[in-house]
Amino acid sequence: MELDLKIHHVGCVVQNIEESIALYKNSLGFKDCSEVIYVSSQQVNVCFVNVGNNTFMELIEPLDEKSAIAKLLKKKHSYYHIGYLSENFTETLEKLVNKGCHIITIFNSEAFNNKQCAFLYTEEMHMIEIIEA
Amino acid sequence: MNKETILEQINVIGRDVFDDESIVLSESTTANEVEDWDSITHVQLLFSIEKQFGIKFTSAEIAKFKNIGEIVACILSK
Repeated sequence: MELDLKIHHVGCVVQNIEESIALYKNSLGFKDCSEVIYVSSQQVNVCFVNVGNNTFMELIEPLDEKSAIAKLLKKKHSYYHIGYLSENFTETLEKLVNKGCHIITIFNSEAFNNKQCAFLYTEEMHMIEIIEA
Repeated sequence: MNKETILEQINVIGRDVFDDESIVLSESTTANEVEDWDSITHVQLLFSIEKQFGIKFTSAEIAKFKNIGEIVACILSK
């Protein structure tokens, strides 16, 4: 039961996305940053910072203070998920659920040309995101 | 294991997941009544319950849960 997962990003919730982008650019030297993208279904702004070999840091700024993501920030969480690309999105989700993962939500993301994305928890309660490649 | 014992253990789990020692979950409690019950803590709660009771919820079961009482009933049925 093989999965076709390719790492794409590490997701990190931030208070202020512009300040975080400035930090990655100026302090850490990562100049290759995407535009800030509004993801409506999740009520967040995101930016992808290329931290090497097309692996990204996804900076996520919650816009709804009552959202689950905003609550992570209040609890002082920062890095909270790893995003993987999958060529076989639906099949991959089915396999992961059969392996004991629980789906948190499935949505279409403006950050990936409105392709499907899903957040899941693994049995170890590690959050992962599967992105339709 | 009876309904009361299960509910008691779910309350212990709930206080940990929702990070609120004062929380009291009854059979009629729904997600809307608990401030920190969101899409993420919902899955955390169910995973923690699975581990505590050594069971697995199916996706169909999870989709049907409307309150704590239905979770308790599902645990009892396994």
